[in-house]
Amino acid sequence: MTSSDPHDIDGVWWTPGYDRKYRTVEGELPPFTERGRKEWQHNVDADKRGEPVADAPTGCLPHGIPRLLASPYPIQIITTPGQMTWVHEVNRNQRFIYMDEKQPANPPKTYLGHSVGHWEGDTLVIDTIGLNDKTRIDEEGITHSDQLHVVEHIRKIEGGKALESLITITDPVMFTKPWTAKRIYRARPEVRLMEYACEENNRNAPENGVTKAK
Amino acid sequence: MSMRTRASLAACVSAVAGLVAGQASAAEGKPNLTGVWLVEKPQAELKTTAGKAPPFKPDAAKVYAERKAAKASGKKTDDPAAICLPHGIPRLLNAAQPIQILQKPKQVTVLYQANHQSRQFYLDDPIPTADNLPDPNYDGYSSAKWDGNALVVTTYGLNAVTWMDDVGMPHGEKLTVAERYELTAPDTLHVKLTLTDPETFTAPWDAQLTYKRQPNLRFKEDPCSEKLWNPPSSSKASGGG
Repeated sequence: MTSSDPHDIDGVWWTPGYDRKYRTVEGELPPFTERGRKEWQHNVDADKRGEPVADAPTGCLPHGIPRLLASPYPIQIITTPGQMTWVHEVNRNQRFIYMDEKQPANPPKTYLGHSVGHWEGDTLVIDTIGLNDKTRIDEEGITHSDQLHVVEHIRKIEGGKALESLITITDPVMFTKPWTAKRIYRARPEVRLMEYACEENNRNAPENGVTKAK
Repeated sequence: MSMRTRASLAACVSAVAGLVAGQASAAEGKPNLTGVWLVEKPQAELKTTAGKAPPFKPDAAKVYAERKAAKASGKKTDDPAAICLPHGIPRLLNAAQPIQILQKPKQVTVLYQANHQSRQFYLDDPIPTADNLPDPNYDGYSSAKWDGNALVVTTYGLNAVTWMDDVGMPHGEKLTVAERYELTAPDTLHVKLTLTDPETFTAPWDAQLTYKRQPNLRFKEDPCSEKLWNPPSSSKASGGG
């Protein structure tokens, strides 16, 4: 059962399948700067050699934004006064979106950054800054700097059975201009989040900066 | 690493969650627990409500004494929280970091800043009996109901990896934890714990925690696993210039 209220997105959502690469809505590589392309190519080549470069989630640290938004695990959204909370099953990532607030001038740099949100008509707009540079844009290997700024435009589609999120990524160090990717989440009211203990027998644990996942 | 399997999920869901969205933020007529809370006096050593040691069986008392001595002398222990595994229940309730309760009519979620943990309680939706649960895990399987103005949570299916307190109180897989959450003032939350484990204790026993509401406190990120590996800048990692 999903609510007919376009502003009510409480419940469990789950992206179908898993696309480990972020691309533009048109399916293109992002508009890399020279440095951004070089770093992406480095990571792709390391992957091909069987020596994937470890990043934060392989060490059980938060995935970062926007990488978390592509994760193939369920998300529970809970709205309480002034706040929207996203509880991600994957590695217990917790995201707090403070509604109708301005961004602080210089928030501390963290894995998941500082998020504020508001509604524009039937679209939820989430603005995230304050992201550290220890995470990547995606699992494939697009990198970002700590100047990353992510804006999500989220709205119900398919009569409320799914959410569409347009994710706009701005980072002058890695990209020549802002670009937008898309993810879909399906309503999964029958699903309950399960425990996730990444640190238990972590088969992806980094060794000397290389992820041992096979 | 936890890998999700649909089979185990199905086994632990006794009924469709049936979350009804769009209702008031708290159950009608129930105290509103939503908000950030901080435990008043974290108990590194969990004691009974009377401030005494719990009624250990001899073997458990021995394990507890050994772990306490090892901790006190700075020796390496098998403390799971030291390698950022989940604290387990009841230890998680005593972490000296804020918790956040999100109360809905059919579901109460408790988030813990410590190592970004969380628990979800579904109201009036019983879980399978202990014999019919999937493998025990760190936070166990919880059911919840309102008893008048008290939220009562019952948890079992806990693994024996976790410690019951910061200094090493042991328990077995037959541990059942009952939590009774009750507001004693608008900003004061009492939690009475009843701990039952016939393998560890000679009788069930009670402990008591008090939380204070923190209207101006927000969660900070607690990336515990940085203690084990602090990732470099993703640019640095790829040798970018």
